[in-house]
Amino acid sequence: MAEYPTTAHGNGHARPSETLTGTPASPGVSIGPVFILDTADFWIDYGQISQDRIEEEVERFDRAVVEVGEDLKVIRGQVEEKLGEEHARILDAHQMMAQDQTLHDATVERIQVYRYHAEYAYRVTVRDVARRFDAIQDPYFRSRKSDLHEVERRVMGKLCHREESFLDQLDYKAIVVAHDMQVADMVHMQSDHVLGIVSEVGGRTSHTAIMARGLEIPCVVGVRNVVESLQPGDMTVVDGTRGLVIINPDAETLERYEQEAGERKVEREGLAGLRDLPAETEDGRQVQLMVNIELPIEAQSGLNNGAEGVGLFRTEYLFLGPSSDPSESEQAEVYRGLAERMAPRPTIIRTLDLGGDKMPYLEPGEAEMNPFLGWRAIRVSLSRPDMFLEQLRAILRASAFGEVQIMFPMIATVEELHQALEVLAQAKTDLREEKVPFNESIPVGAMIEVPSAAILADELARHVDFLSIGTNDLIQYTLAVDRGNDRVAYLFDPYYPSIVRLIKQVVDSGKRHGIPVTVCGEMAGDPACAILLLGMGVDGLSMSTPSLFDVKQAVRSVSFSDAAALAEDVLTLTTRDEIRDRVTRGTVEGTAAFLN
Amino acid sequence: MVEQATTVKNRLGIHARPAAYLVQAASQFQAEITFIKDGLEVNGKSIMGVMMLAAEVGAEITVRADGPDDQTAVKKLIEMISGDFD
Repeated sequence: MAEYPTTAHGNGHARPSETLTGTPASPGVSIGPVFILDTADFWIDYGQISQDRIEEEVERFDRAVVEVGEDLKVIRGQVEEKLGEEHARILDAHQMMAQDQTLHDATVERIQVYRYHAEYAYRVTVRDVARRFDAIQDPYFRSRKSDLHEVERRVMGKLCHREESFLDQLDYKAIVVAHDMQVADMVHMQSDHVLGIVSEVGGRTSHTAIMARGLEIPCVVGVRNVVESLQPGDMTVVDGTRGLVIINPDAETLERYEQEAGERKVEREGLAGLRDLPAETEDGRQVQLMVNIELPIEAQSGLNNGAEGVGLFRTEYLFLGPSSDPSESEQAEVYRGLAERMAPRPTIIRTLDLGGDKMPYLEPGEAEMNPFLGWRAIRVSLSRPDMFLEQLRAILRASAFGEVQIMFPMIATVEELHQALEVLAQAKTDLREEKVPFNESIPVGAMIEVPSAAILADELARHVDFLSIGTNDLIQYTLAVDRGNDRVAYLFDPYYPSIVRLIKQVVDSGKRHGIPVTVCGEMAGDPACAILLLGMGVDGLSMSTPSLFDVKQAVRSVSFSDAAALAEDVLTLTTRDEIRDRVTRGTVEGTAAFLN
Repeated sequence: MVEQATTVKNRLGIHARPAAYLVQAASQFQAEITFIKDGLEVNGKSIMGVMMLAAEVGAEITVRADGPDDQTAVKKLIEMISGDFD
C-alpha cells in the first residue's frame, strides 16, 4: 500500500487546530489524513452557445447519459455482490432516472431553444423536477428527491469532465469525510484503506453509522460543516467513542490519541486469543455469547470476535433504507443469507421494531406526543397484518437454510402474544399448502422489555420457546426515564434493585417452564453486569461486537459459584449505590484472582 | 385507445422501485402510455413522470394506452398497479 503522499500537505504552514463535535457512531480512535468524498458543486457555464454548436451539445449530453448508464451497471454489480440484491435494485431506478425520457427531452429542448450549455440545461431541468417533488405532500415520496440528486451528481460529473472521487480511488490509508455517504459509496467501505468515517448528516441509526460499526471503523456522524472546514490531506483525529473530530491536532493531543489508539490495538490483539475459547466459568458453567446486528454484513465481524450466534438481528433497516418496501422474497433472501453464514449457530430474527424514534408510516401532523408509549414494534405489526404475515413468511422460508429463530419485540400482554402466534400459525399453514419448505418447529421467543411482560413472564413462558430480556427498554419503562433527558438520565441505570429483581423474576419463570432466558441490550455487553446476569442464571448474552471479548474474558475469570453468591447478595440490597458497589467489588476481586 | 382505472395496492405506493418496474413494463409496448392521477397526466415510459404522480396506497390511477398493442398494455399495467409489484 502506498504511503500517504506528504507533498499534498501543500501550503507549507500549519493551520490552527480545530475540534468539531458530532454524534459518536462507531467507537475507537483513528488518526490520518482526510480524503474528501466529492460534494463540491460543479462549475457551470451559464452563457449561450452558438447556433452551429447545438447538435454537438446535444450529442455531448447523450454521451454523458450513456456513460452514466454504463457506470451504474458496473456499480450495480458491485453493490449486488457486496450488499445484496435488495440494495442493488435502487440502482436500477437510478439508471432509469439517468436515461429518463422526460428529463432528456426537457434538457434537449433547453439546449435547442435557449442555446444553453448541456450542463446548465440539465441542471435547470433537474431543479425544475426537484421543485415539483418538493410540492408533494407525502413525506415518503418527497424524500425520493435524494435519488434524483444522486443521479444528477453523476451526469454532471460526466458533463463537466470531472470524475467523482469515489472511494475506489483511495490508494492510501485515510479518514473519509463526506457530506453524506451513498449506497454506491459504501461498496468500497470494506477497503482497509478507510481508517475512519466522518459525515455531516445522519444519526446513530443511519446506514453509514451501522456499516461503520459492523466493520469496526471509528465513525462520527452529524458533524456540521466538516467538509468546508477541511482541506484534502489535513491530519485529523476521529474519536468515535466521544464523537469528536480534531483537525490538525497539536502535538500533545496527537500523542494522547496515538497512545490511546496503541493501547486499544494491543488490547484487541491480546483479546483475539479468546476467540476460539469457550465462554465458560472456572467451574465449568457455560453461557452463550451472541452478537446484536443491524446488517447481515456485520455477521462476519461478530464471528471474528467469537460470537456463538446472532442473538438479535434487527430488521428495521430493511424498512428504513433506500429500498424501504422489501418484498417477501427480498426479505427471505436477506434472512437466508444471514442464516447460512451463521449456521450451525443460531440466528434470532426480531420482527419489525419500528416506532419510537423510527417511524416512516406517519404523516406529518400525525406525530405522536409520546412515541415510546405509542404505536411501535409488535403494535405496528399487529395493526398491519399483511405486512406482518409477509415478514413471518420470509423468516419461515429462511428457516429451511439455517438455525433461524423468531422473536417478537415489546410484548406487553398475553393477548398480543396470542395474536402474533396466530399470524405465525397462518403463515405456516399457507406455506405448507404452497409446499414451501420451512422448519416446522422453529423456536419462537418473546422479548421482555415492558414491566408488564416481566410481571407476566410465567404466563408468556407457557407459549414460547425462549424469553429474551431487552434491558434498555426495560429500564426506560420501569423507571419511567428518558435517558436522553439530562435532568433525569441518572435514573437510567441497570443497578437499580427494581431492574435486578425484575430480571431475576423473568429468569426464574424461564427455569420453571424449562425454557432458556437470554439478555440482549447494553447490560449484556457490560462485563460487570454480565457476571451478575450469569449469577442470576441467565443462559445467553447478546451484545454488540466490540463487547464480545471483554465479556468473555470476564466470564472466564470468575467461578459460577462466586457469581451466584454475588447475585444472591445483590438481590437483598435496596439501593443502586449498594448494588453497584457490590457488583464492581465482586468482579474486581474475581479478575484479580484470575490475574494471580 | 384503451383506458382503465384501478387503485394502488402496494403499501408504500408507487415509489422509486415500483415505478422502475412499471416503466420497464410500459416501455415494452409500442403504444403511447399515459398514467393519470387527480387530473395530472404523465408519460408512462418516464420514471420521473411516474414518481411525480406520488401515487400512495389507495390512490386511483387511470392507465391510457394508444397504439397497436394498447389492449395488452392496459391489461398488464392495471395488473401491476393493483398487485404487489413482486
